[in-house]
Amino acid sequence: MPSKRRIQSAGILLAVLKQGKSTIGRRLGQALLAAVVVWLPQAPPPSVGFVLSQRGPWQVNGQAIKQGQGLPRGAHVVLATTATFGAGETYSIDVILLNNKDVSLQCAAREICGQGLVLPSSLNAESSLASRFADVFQLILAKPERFVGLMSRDVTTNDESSFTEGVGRLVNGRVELAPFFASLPDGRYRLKLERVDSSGAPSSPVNIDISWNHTAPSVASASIEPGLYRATLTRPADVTVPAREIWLLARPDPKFAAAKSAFDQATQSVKTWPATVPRRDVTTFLRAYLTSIANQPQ
Amino acid sequence: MTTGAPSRSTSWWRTAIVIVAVSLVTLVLQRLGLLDHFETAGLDAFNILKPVRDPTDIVLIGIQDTDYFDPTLFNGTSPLNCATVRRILHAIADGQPALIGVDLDTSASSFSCLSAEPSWPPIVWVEDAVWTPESKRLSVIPAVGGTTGLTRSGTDSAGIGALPEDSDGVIRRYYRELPLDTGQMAASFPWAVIQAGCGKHCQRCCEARERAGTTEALRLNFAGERFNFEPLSVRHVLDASGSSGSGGWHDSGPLVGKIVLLGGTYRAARDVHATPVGPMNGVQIMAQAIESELHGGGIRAVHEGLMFAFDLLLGSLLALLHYRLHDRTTLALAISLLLMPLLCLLASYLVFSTLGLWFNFAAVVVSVLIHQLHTRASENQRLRAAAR
Repeated sequence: MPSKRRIQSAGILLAVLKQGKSTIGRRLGQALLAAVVVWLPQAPPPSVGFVLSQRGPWQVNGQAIKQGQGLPRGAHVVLATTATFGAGETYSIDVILLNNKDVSLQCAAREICGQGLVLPSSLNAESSLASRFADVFQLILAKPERFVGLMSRDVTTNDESSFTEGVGRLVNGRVELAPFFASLPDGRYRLKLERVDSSGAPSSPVNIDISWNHTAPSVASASIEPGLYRATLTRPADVTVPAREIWLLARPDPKFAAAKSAFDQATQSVKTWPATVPRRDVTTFLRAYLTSIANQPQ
Repeated sequence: MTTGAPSRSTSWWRTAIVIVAVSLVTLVLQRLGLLDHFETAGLDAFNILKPVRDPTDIVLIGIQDTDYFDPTLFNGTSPLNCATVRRILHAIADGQPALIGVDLDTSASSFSCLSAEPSWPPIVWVEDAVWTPESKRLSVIPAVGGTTGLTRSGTDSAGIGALPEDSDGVIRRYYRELPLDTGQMAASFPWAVIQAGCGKHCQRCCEARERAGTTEALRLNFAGERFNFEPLSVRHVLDASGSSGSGGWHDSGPLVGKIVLLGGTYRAARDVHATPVGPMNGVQIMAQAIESELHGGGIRAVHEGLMFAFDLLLGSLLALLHYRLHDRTTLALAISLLLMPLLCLLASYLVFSTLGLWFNFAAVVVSVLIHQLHTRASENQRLRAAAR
């Protein structure tokens, strides 16, 4: 069935052809007209949804439909008349609309399958002029009510983040921080290191300003004593970024290798834990493990 | 001895003074922003009144709450799993869209896995930016792993995902370009999508590009095609692309030739904002901005000179009407009352491409009407006094 656009194009062409005086010209024009009607490409109508799954020979406008195919607005999806019934066959089709609504049909009788399902003509809910006027009056007359939640929100940390509990290598009294910053975006950071283990003399927190750049990773380091530290990371230029805290065990070579190997075993072990274990419990375990490594005789 | 009636020319001068004075006052009020509340109320009302149409060029795909907490997808973890995002992009690309706009924050270095395949359509990545009130400029946080280089230079592009918020906390406007702290101007995300679309045979995208550029904010046109419905879940996209026999998705699916926007509608994304037509997700607002460009470029910012000229014109028309019907007060009044709202609406449409800014022209027509009625009343009073 030619589309409306084709019919209109054909009508215009026919009107022009009627003006022609040459028989050959008219015949050529009629051939061209036929070609226009048949071959003129037309844009597909916009889809309102697509076929997610189907069981059986379903059709739209007499054409078989494929899984994943887009369906136009108001499409009437019916089971092909060639479908057989009676031996317990069940046919189904599931259409997902672009507004995430599900329209489906499951049938085992010809009458129901023959009715098929009709897709909506619009993704938006239809509204009458009266209801729209009511909305306008409400806009003008009603006091607007919007609520915002005033609470601090956690950002769930990604297990793949590099800024997490770990063992840092001390080289000439300076701990290498690049492995801890690897997953962080470039920029300026401030790191506060506070000693948390009982060994060694108490010391005041150490604050370090770090300009982290992936292309120059060797710049991040801090001068501290071997021990267990609470490392708090902030971004001075952006107060909306929440502070992040980890525990870091600083060890010089050769003790670094042994400590890191032991801690790596612990981190591999927690990765096998079920996802239902709360993240804070995992963190508590890792910190306790670091404490046990820190308290081992050196 | 009676005082002579003011001459016609005197009357015209007085009318002209009223017209010019009220037009100037309206201009000053507009410049001071004192008409903003009336403008937004008018715009909001007309946005709501217009019957809603379905979008025709854009398909929205969203990560819903069920997708975010799905253990096989994101397992309730942020930043989003890079491999999963890449799988979603692959499924979208399989649907043969014209281009893909990614309205997800990919600045974390964990997103460095998002390398696009050569067969994928162009991708426009959204970039976050930090606003500095002192310099009134933005500092961009690069997308795709926080690096400045996109995965396919010359094919992919980026746009800043920042829209201005009005004083009442409602988002009504967007900018095509935004000032950076480097001194340059950078495309906003909607404008970057338009520019990328022009290269993919989106005729209306190219027409939008050819329209005169503006550095002022354009009002989002919520009238007509609107996106306040739930976007398509990524789960359905993955199912449609991954199921066997899904040739329909690739060849004749709903994404073929469309501009596809991928965003997060899950609660943890905290990307819900107030708009004149109710709360909308960020990706829905982005889609609205792109649609505004595709259908005329949004609502033009106030062109004060044009508004002043139309104020003078409307006032003069009304004055001329009363001049012609100077001895038929009732008819003049009736026609004025009928014409005034129509003239205001017409002027609003001609100057701003919307009917919603009629209030900018109401002051001058009302003032002229009041002045004309006052003049008639004064004349009648004088005639009665003379007749005694």
